[in-house]
Amino acid sequence: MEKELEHKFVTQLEKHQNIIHKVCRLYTNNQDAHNDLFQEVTIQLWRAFPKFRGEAKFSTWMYRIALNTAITLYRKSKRKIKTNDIADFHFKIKADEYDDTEEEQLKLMYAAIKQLSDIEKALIFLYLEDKNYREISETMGISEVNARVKMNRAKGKLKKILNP
Amino acid sequence: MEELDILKKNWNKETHPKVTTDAIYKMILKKSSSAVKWIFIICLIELSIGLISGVFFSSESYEGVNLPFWVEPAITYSSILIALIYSYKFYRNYKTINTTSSIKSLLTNIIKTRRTVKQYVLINLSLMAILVVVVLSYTLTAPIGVSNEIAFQIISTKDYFILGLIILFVTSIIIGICLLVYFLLYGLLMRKLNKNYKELKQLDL
Repeated sequence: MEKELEHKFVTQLEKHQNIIHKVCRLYTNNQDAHNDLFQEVTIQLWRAFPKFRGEAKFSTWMYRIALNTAITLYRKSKRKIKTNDIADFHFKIKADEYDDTEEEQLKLMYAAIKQLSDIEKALIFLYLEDKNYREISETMGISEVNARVKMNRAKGKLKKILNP
Repeated sequence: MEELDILKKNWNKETHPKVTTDAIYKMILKKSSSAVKWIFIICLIELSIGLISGVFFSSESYEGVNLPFWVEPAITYSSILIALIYSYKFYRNYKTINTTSSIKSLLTNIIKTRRTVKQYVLINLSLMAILVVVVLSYTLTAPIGVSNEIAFQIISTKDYFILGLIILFVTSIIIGICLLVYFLLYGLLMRKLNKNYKELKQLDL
């Protein structure tokens, strides 16, 4: 029974691991921190897995726990982020879609997102994941109206950072 | 917002190193190493406190008590020796757990660490009990300024019985306090280790 549970967990995690990578991408500044957060999220997911009833989709459940872990750890460390720290961090896009100006814009965008608060980062992350407001409100545990207001504020803040 | 939309367009194109099943297993296993590391650090702190207090207080604390000459150095050196041996043992446990990659060997290592901690606490408490009993017997039976021979002649059997009870009482209180400190220091870390052990045991079924 336990073996079955463990096998199920590892298979699902392997399949959806990109979600954790993307969360780590927004909340960390270097490869070591990325790996640490990945490990921490995995441990938290494993701890919570016996309570996962399958009512929600595995990926939705993963979003919630991964973001919660990232936010908790982010609050604990509260490190100041230097933009030059972020710029070169594992930025890999497939060669055929490579675009010099776009790459520059993306770098700036990442640097700007890193300056947002932990909650705003989570909202932008879910926006990038193409989640609608109902899904965002479920994952974040806030109302749809609140999600909408907070999202607009986060976008406004990003705009301000990029065009001061 | 144009920039954000560019990021959204590229968001899923980024590649990340794939984490293998093996690596995921290892991540679940790693939890124990931090608890064992703290056990090792606390033991080192305990050792340094012991050494520092030994340097500053050793000769003054027994002043006025007619202790045989060998008691003080015996206690000091044996406690340093025990702390050194066990800090080495804890360090070895930490190193082994840190490099362990299979559930079976991690389980064995956790059992070994638990045994080492229990031994360490038991030996330290026994040493403390011996120290308290020896110091109290000499202090109570031989008041300051009276030699042991004279003291033994003055004190009756009934007095010895009462003294015995007092020694037992004081010793149990001191041991109780030490036990509480050890429970707080190591007990909590051991609980973490035990919880992880149970989780791993389930994995290994």
